[in-house]
Amino acid sequence: MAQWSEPIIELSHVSASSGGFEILRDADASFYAGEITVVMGSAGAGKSTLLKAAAGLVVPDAGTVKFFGKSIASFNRKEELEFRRRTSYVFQDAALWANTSILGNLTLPLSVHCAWMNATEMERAARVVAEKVGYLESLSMRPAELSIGEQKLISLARALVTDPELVFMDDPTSHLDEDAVDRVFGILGELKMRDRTVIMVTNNSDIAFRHADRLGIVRDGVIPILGPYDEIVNNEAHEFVGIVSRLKIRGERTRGEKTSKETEQ
Amino acid sequence: MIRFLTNIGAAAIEKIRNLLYGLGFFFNVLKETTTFFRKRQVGFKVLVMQLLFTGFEALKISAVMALAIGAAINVIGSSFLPQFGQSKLMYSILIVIITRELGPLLTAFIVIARSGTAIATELGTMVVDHEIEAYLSVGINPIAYLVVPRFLGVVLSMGILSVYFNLFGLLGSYIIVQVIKPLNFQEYFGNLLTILSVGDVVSGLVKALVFGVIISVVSTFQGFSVARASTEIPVAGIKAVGQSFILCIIADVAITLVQYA
Amino acid sequence: MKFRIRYADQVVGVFIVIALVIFCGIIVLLGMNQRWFAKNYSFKTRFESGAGVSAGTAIVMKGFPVGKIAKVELDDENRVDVEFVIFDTYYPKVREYSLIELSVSPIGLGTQILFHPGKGENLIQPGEFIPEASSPDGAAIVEQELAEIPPKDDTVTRLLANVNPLLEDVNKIVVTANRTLTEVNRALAGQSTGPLGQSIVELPKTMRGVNEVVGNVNDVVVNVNGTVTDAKAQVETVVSQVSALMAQTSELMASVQAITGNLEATTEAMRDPTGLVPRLLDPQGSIKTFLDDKNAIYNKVTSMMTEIEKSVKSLSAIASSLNDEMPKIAAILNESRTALRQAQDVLQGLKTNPLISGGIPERSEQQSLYQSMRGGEY
Repeated sequence: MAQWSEPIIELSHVSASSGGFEILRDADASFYAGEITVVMGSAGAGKSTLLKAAAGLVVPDAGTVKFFGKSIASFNRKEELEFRRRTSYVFQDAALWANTSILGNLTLPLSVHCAWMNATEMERAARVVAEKVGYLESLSMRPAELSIGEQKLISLARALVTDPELVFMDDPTSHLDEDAVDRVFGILGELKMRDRTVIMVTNNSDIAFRHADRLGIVRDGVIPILGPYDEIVNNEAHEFVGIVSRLKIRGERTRGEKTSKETEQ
Repeated sequence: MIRFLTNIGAAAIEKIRNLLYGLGFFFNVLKETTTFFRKRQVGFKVLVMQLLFTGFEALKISAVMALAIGAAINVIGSSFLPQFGQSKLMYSILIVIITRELGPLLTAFIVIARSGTAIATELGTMVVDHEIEAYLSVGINPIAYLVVPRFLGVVLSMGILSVYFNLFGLLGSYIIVQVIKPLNFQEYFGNLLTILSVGDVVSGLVKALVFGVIISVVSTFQGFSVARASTEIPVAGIKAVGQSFILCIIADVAITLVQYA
Repeated sequence: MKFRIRYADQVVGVFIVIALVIFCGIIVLLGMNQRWFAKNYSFKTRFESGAGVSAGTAIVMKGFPVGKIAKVELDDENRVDVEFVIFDTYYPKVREYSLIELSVSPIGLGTQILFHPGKGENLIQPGEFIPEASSPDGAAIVEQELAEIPPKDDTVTRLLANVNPLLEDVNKIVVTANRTLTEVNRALAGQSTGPLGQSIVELPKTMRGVNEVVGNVNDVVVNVNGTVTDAKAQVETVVSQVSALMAQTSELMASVQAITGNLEATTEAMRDPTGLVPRLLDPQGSIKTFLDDKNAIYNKVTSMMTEIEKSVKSLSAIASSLNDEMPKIAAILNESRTALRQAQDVLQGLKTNPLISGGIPERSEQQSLYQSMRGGEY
């Protein structure tokens, strides 16, 4: 596991609100490159807002968000484009572009960041990544014609099509069947192997158990717990946290391997 | 009393803030428009589709309206003007109404009704479905990708539609002339060209382009102003239509005053 | 997918291209029709007024536009200098003695600028001056019929040409009346220094003068009355004398008449050969009696003659006394006439109101209408 001394994403005293409600209050968090950081918390705790603030999709009311030490708010157009080229986002509700086909959804990021590719190459790359996530239907269909699960898969494929260094994932396994969830897990393992950084918010403790290098807990707009997975889980001070206690029950195991139960099945 | 004053003050400040925000949005659109054709354009396809929807698909209704109005003007004028021995004024009236005044304004109303609502509701839906955030996450500037093609599409469509409106309006008038008092096409057209001036053509075109700017900016602005609820989408459409109407009429008066001043 | 969505690029392309072609076509046709690139020939003229004339106004010849106004300027000497162009197709008509006419519609339908080609041989060179029809040079050309000026066939113009002088006269009268009323107002307000105002100021003095005149007239009338009474008395005396004389004359005439009658009878008798003469000649006849009346008839005739002589003398005396009195009577009559004239003048003066007519008008003596052949001046 590669360890950068400098966090890839750093939130300092970030406060953010939405619809007039304060979601994040003075939140601090550091995310390191090459690691899969899973942030968990109860519904409405501010997980998605934290992720969007980290991805620069939400302008915080206060505080700074830095990418490799440079504030995202001070990016010029070129730096912002570079930031977007090196990152991608998987939305909780897929957020596919309804006015274009699946192929268009997948090739649009390529046309922005890989302009040297021609249409054929882009289409080929789109097909490869769609198959990787398990979407085998026609790419000419419109998002409205797909199920929500298929849309989530295409959203994941869209985030991976440009091979970004950092992927923000907002609950990637919601609305997915078990096979699809397995495919997501496989993709996460592959990203891990390729030293990619993943910042994920989820309520799925399986993902945290199997893939999280770092674990964070969001509660009432703040991040009281964020650190290496083993440290968090084994810290007796965190036993009162339900999520942590459930993870602890799962026991020790080698990261990324299936549990014994899964092996039996 | 203090609460009343506070509310008024807050409302005024909010209005001014919105106005400044709107002006900032407009200048941002203009800035992105200047660089639109220099980039390898992902938005070019959007521009083509906007021209198709706003321009080509509105041609039918625009042509019918122009034919009807040209015919009506000729019928009404033919019954009044000969009484004063001023039959030749018909051409001047046709040109003033169709080319200078009603042509651009009625075309604007057609475009507002069709494209203004469509643009506002489409963008509002995109905001609610997080598609705008998706564009941002990919590194696409929503203004450059979504607004500028619509801006250019509507403005160009307005200019093109006004040319067709003039053609069909004057043609409609000719058709009626043939029914009432048959006239050689060359003579009719020659008389028209004698009265028509470059100023008429240019002023009609300028008005059409200005109306296009107003419609596109107002519609996209209202579309983006949707917050999170899908119920705000039709409200955005209605606001876009209402504001566009009023601003187009004000602009029409202002341009007419400048022309005749 | 719908056809137009699939071929959106082509559809939009055709849509735009057709519009561009139409737009460019209109511009080109406009340029051809309005002669943007045609050569125009520029000339100068001068108008009395620039009202209704502006750059772009068409210049028309017999209903056809042959040019247009390029520039209208007011120079330092308050003259309207106009620069205009004639289209190249009509330049051959711009010959010597050509005119420009500024025709104003009397019923408010604007102005028209008319071009009248000259009858000269040579063309007027571009940049030269062409006079306006109402200018002295233009009027001279019109009078000498050196330019082709079509008759004005506008009925309204003709009618109004007749009405215009009348309207001008009415206007003058109204202006004069207005001025007069203004003067009257000022005079009544005591602000006028003219004769009327002075009359108002001197009105009290005038009234005193009138009173004096009236007094004088009264005196004159009294004198006249006395004179007339004297004259009347004298005239009555004369008349009574004349009456007496007339009575005497009547008696005389009666006597003469009797004598005449007798003479007539005598003549008749004398004419009758068997009557008067024999009777007269008869020793017992009238002639004998007449001749033998011992001078009775002679005495009678003598006394009659004496009476006649007395009567004639009386008549003569009356006549001479009348002659003596005639100058007096004439003087009386003259004085009466003068007094009556003065009274008439005063009354005329009062009647015609010195406040308006400016005093008693001078009497103009009527000239004799008779003129001798030699009295005329050559």
